[in-house]
Amino acid sequence: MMTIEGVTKRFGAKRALDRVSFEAKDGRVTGFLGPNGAGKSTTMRVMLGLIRPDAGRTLIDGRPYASLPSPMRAVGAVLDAKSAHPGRSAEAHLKALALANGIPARRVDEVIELTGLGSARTRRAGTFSLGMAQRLSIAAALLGDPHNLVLDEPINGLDPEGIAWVRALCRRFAAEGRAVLLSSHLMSEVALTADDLVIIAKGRILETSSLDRFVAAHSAHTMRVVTPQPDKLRAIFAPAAEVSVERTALAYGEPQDGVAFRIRGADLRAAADVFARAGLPLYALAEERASLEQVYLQLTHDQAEYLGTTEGSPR
Amino acid sequence: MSQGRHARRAAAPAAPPSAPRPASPGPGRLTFLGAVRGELCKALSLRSTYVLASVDAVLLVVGAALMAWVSAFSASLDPATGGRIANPPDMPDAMLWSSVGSFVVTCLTVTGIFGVMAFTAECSGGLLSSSLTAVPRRATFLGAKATVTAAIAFLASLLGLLAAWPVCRMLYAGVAAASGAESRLPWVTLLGGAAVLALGALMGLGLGAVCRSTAGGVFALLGLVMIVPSALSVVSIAGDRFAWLQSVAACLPDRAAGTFLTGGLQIVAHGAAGTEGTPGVEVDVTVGASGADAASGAAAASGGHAGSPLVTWATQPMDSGVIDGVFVPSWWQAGLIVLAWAVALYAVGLLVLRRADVR
Repeated sequence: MMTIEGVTKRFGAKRALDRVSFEAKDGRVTGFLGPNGAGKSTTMRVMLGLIRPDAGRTLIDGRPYASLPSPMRAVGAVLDAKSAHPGRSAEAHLKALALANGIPARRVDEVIELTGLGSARTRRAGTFSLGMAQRLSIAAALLGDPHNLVLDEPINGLDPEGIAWVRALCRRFAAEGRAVLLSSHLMSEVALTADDLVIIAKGRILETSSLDRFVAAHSAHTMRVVTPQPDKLRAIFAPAAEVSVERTALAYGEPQDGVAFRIRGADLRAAADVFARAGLPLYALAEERASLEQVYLQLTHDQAEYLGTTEGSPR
Repeated sequence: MSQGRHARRAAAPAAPPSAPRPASPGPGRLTFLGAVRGELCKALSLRSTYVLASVDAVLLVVGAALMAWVSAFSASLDPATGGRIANPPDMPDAMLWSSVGSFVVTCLTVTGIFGVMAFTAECSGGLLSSSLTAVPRRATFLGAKATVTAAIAFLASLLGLLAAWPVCRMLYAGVAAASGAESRLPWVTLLGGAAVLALGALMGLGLGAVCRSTAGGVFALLGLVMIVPSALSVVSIAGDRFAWLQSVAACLPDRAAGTFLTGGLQIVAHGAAGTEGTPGVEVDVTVGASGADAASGAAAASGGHAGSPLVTWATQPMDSGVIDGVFVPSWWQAGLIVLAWAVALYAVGLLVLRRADVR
């Protein structure tokens, strides 16, 4: 378990972290979500004793990181893709880390196999592609077969197979009762892997909740209907003031004579029943949820540190 | 959405993550000895370690050979005729050892750069983060690095000096037996010289930890062993008014290392200028660290006819203490001053590293 308690950190005049508190619990994958520059990496570095907080403290299984008898067995961390000296072989990099923590040499062979670096073990890390370097960083994190895993944007540079592998790794760690803290700036990524959600922006925690609760709280139920008789559909809902019917675009492959609507505020079963009794022909009827990405964007939009603008369309 | 999530979980690739539980990484823990072994593995897996250690050892041998050859050559010249003396005088033992250790001060730059790079090699990409995650106690981290860096610098230098010894001995026609205090010179030159260079590596390591960039660390090192001494020697031309600056200059690492290596002995050449008419005029040439000067001085002083060397050599204790208002450390004080430099720069490096945020 990883605990962050009231951590505040300034870099010069900039407040990088402002009373950040949350827990990454055993047996769960905690998604740590926020835009670029929100303080995700800084928080992780504070946890690992790399950055000294101005206030607050962080605990790994109840102890400060620097006082752990065997840090690499307690926490495996991937902070940067490029974590090895460019002139050093992958094998030597891992061996040096293992020796420091008294980890036997055969474990180095194991993590090399585990991360699929077998064919590159004697190559200099400087010749690695981003994806290979990321695998090497993950191999280093796994050396101690740690109880906690800290992954800072681990899927950067990985190919689809590698991404699926990292997701499966996170799930396996959680299933074995370990704690995983996974940062990302993509809600879609976290939604696929995480159990719990911590959203940070501008150094402040905006929300901590389980993913399921977050989904339930933020997704408004809507329905998507495609029919060739739009007037009939409008007529059906005309008396119901609480239901909004708005036209939306046809999806690819839907019949061209159909018209698509998004209906808000109506129950799917009841609506289906009414449509059937009214004899309304339907090409499509499906429940929709607002995408988590949209919810997340709304939540962090005003807080984002670095906002882009689209050329020609002032916001 | 939620259903999709679970579906994706189920579809996760089965091969690597669900492979049988890997063997446990054992019960070991983070220890200083382990950290030292890790650092040794790191140092031995970098090409720059081998390059700098080789440059150090080779430079010590080549420099010593050059110095021995020049000294022997000067001592064998007859200034009256410009020809060679048939039987050049035996060189004092101190001259031999002065030649063997003649490039130690020069190599301070080499092992110093080795020390700087021992730290700044960590500053590429996220390496320092990964190293400090493995060894979060920063005093342990830097201590292990210092142990390995100093040990490699010591061994490479000792190897170079041990090789320089027979080379120099061969280049001198004859070397007088060691007498009195000269008996400590082999120890001071071989072990002391190697120790000085190991301390140079520690100075570099400290500067590297302060600057955390190769360019900055190397510049700071060159400033300490080359630029500041040059500046002080220019100011010293102004004379006695700046005597304190000369005291400072004598305590800088390069000068202190040079003083230490003399073992507190200076070589004196007594030449009886045996030209006809003025026999017995004694010319004393006194030289501290540099054997070549003494040799050429001796050659000038000998002045005798070919085949009849009239020069006699002697080694004397060097003066130390406060001389004309300038502090001149004795050889062992100078050794302690070099040690103090290394300890101080290492301590500053550790202080900076302990407070540093690694972003």
